[in-house]
Amino acid sequence: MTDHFTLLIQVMDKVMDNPDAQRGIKRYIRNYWKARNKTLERHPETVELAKEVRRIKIEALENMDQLVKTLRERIEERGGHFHLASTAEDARNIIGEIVGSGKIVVKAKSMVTEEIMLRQHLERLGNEVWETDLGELLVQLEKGKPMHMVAPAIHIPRERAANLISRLTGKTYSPDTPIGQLVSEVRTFLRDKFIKAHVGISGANVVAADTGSLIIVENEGNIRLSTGLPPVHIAVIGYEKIVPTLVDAFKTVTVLMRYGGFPATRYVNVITGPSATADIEHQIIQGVHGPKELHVVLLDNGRKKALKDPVLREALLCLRCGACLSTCPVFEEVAGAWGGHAYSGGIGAIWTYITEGPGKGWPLAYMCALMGRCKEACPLNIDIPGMIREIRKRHASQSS
Amino acid sequence: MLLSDILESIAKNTLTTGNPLGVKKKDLCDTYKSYMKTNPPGGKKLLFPGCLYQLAPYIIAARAHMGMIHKHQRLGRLALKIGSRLAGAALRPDQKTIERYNKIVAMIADHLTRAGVEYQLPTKDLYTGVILYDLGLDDDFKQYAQKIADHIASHEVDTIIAIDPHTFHVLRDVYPKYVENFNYKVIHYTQLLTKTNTRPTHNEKPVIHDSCYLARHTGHLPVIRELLDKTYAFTGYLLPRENGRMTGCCGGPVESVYPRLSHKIAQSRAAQLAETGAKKALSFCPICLLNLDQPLRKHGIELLDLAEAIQVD
Repeated sequence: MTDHFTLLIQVMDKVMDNPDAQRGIKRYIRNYWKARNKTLERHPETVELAKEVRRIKIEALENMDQLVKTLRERIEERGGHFHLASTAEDARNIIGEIVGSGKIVVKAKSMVTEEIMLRQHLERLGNEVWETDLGELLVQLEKGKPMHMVAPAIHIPRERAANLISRLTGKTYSPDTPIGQLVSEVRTFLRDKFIKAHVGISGANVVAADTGSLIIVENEGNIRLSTGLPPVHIAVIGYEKIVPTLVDAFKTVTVLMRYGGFPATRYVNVITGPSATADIEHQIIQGVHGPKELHVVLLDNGRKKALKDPVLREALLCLRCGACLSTCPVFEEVAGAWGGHAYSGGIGAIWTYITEGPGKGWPLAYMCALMGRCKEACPLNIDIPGMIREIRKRHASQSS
Repeated sequence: MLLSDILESIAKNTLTTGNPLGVKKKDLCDTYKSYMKTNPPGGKKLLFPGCLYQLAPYIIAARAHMGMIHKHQRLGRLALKIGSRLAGAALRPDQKTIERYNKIVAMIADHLTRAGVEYQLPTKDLYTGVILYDLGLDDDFKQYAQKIADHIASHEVDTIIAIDPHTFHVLRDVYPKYVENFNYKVIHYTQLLTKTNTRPTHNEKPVIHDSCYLARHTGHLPVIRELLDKTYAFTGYLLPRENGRMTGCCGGPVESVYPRLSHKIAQSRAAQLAETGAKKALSFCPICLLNLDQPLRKHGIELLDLAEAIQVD
């Protein structure tokens, strides 16, 4: 049987041998840094705000039980349903029961749903499931994995994208087909799915406990449609997304956007309960133009154990902005090939260790250069190299 | 399976031979002394090279061996184990490369003598075992570090002068956590050259490859900049787009587990240094030197260690 480490090298070799992937990754990283530097030059106050957000997140981790209790109360007060899932399997079962079978499901890009392999599960139950983020849709069509937590299709150049989209539409595109036309074809295809969808699924970038609000940032507009049009919206969130207040949540999301290279993303969605009206006799009726049902699934899957871990709890501060990946010399050569089935890079090695178990995580830890630029780039100054060395240490001490 | 063999081999080699490659050459770490042009003045400071420069030629020779191991994994575990154990004995570095790296150590000692620094050399130079720490082999590291600390304690000194970033970091920041009573002041040799007259040995404006450990992990960047500003006051020097605290990687840290990846990273960094148009480059670390030397040559750039690039008046 081939071991995880050997398999990892084989997958990484493939990316290093693929000139399209190499070009795409390097181009993305250069453009990311240009955008980030420009954004932080224009909004220098973000650097101080990031320090405040680190304090907010640490405080949230210290008061997690109370925050979860408050969050549950607020979501239920607003007519939402709150579910606790201990494992990925629990989460899949809870969501599977809500969705059922024979449904059309539209999904927003979400790392936590990648983590629990939700799309594959819902498809196995007999549902038609569509990723609606363009990059994530391309990854779905090539049956691959996201190569970056913010930009999942950085390894797919336009020629390959045209080929994948032709599988969707049945039309033929030449390598010279303008990217704008490809995007338009996807829009037409997915518009029909959005309207017919029975269920919309998303994650959330930040969750405010004091109001029960989910904040989701995006540029394409697909999340507005996925979470606004179908009659049922299911949001899957990890414990680490919860912060005490809505004000804290806006601060957090501001840092996330700025360090992602955007002064503000095109859309910032704030969802506090299902759609409702009280316009007639002040009687609250759920489900007007937006979803009638909102389900929030709070996922553990290793997070609570990490919360008690004096070293690895630092990983729970991660905002998933992707800055660390875009500054990592190993990631620049192999992108998401260095990772578990959801999370990539150095922070991905740690998250794979937490969510998929030590057996999947430790081989990834040995690919890290420990050069420490990720920590410099991280808005929250997360000590990724320190955690990587800790994983190596635990593995070595177990092996001996 | 392959990874655990690599780790086991590195640990056993370090504990039994004093270096991760298992090189058994008797004067491996002390050959540098024969290239010195000055005599150590003596004093309470110990110039402790840490044998990383001296090992560099063997690391270069080991690359081909490691590449072969990765390429022929199907040979089976036993063959790989035998291969990695015999590696140290089988490595035959180029004599010129051995000379160059030993001369760098000798030059650093000579620079310090000329700068008026009072120091002594260790009776025997030893490798610090930093790779054991980096790989998380903490029990082996603790055991090995104690031996090195005992050896250092046999010299009557209060300060250790390190010459490479890894040895500097591990002795200053890590040893005190693993070895009892390791209370030395640990400094990097460049700190002792900032107040003396230094000038370049060449006329070109070099591009600087900052070391990760000096720029980030040890916070030593201001000293390096002060020394460069003074030394290159007339010609100036160039910085690549990734420099200082955001400096790029030479690929060295992943060499022991995946040489192909290490080489790819080195190629990317060399391309970035070449973007500046420089014909000479400068590094401060034996691992950076051995990793970037060949990739930079392909761009027509000569890579020098700082010690080779400066002279002390």
